[in-house]
Amino acid sequence: MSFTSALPANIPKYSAVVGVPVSIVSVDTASGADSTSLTYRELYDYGVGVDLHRVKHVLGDLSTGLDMSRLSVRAVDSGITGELIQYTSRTIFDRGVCTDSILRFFRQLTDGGIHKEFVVPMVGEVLPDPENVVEGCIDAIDTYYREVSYGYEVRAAHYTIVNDCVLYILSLISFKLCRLAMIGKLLSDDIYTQLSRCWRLATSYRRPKALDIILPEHENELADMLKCTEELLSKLPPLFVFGVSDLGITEELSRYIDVTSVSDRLIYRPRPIEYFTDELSPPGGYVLTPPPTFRKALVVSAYGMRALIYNISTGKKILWEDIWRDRPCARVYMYADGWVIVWFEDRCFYGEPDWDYDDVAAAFRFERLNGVVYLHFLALDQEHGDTERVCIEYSGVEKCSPNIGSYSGAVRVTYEEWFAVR
Amino acid sequence: MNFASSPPANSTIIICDLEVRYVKNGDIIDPENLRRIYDVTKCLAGKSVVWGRAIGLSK
Repeated sequence: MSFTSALPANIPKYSAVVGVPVSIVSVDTASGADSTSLTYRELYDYGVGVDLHRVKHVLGDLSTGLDMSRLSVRAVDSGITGELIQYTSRTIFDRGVCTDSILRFFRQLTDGGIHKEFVVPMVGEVLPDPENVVEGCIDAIDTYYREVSYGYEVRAAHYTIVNDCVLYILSLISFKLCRLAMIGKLLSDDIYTQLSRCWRLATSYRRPKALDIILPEHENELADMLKCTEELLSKLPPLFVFGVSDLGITEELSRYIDVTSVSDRLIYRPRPIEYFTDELSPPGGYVLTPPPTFRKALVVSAYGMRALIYNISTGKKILWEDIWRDRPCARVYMYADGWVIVWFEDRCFYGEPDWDYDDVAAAFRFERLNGVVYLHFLALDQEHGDTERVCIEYSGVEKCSPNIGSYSGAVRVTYEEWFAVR
Repeated sequence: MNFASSPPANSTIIICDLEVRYVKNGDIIDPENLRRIYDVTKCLAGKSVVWGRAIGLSK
């Protein structure tokens, strides 16, 4: 069944308005996964599976007017584990709906009695970057400064441009929250409530049309939606942590990562590295933002990166994607500024893992300085009885720490190096 | 159009450390106020982009 060809032609790109009608063009539950489908096992390995009902519960308070009965969706039967849902991120993002649409998408599916275990972000599809859309709006505003001066001719577009930008901003935030939810990262209820409130303000704006008389409300309502958006942004988490927040941070490691406790959870903030701020925007030094399936992408394509450890005593090695009895031999954390930390379960060497993943770790990220991209590499360790060596392989070249003797104590940085990679 | 007739209670609002003035009926159109609204919009757009890129997950 053709997916995109049946889309209505009159839907504006990036319309960014909750409530825009979109057509359900395909709900295809036929067997046979296509090339972009993922199997249940792949999903599980990626760690992107999310409990549908949990998302529904958390996002269930949103009450905007999108007609989800017309959302484009596609269901794929993997033929192995039952039905999986795959929907196109493009479809959702192009219509500027995300959280709300997915909520209703879920609701429709569950209420409709169609059991779906997982939702899957599209993999490998080139999507418009939502941040670029918002940046485009900033550029557009710049063109209006010149027109707005004393004695100027007032135009409706002078006001609707702000409304457009707010809608794009909310679309961006919704999109991100939606993607976070899809990988099981759910935020506090007040964020979703605030988002919903801002959507209502932004979508209820009575946009002046050409030749309309500009009224005070045209300007005042812009101020209200902007204030709402500012409050929303202030509530958003500053960064995203992959994995479980149980990484012990010591004084030494705190050179790189700052940890604070908020309520019952830890907040990790990678410290900006000053000498990498000359070319990077925003400050903080990240260069790459892995997709949800970053673990595979990291190894296979974009990063070409493999972390591994060697047990010097036995001569054995463990890659971070190694599996022992269905469990990975390393646990991966990704931080907002690009740091990836791979904590190994070194007892995979013996087939006697205790799965505490507190033995040795490879930490790395790309950094840019004066036009040169460097791989910044750290070896960390906390608890291991054997002498081990932490290595990283990039583009077929392996870089290793020195041998690290047995150690038991607080997390420490045992090795640090930068490698120019291109 | 059916706008609410009463202006907001406060005459100004601070967003992104910028003061935006609420407009009342009879006010002369002030381009500086609209420019500040533009500045605020750009400020929030920038913040959202920074946050969005920090979160990642664009693709």
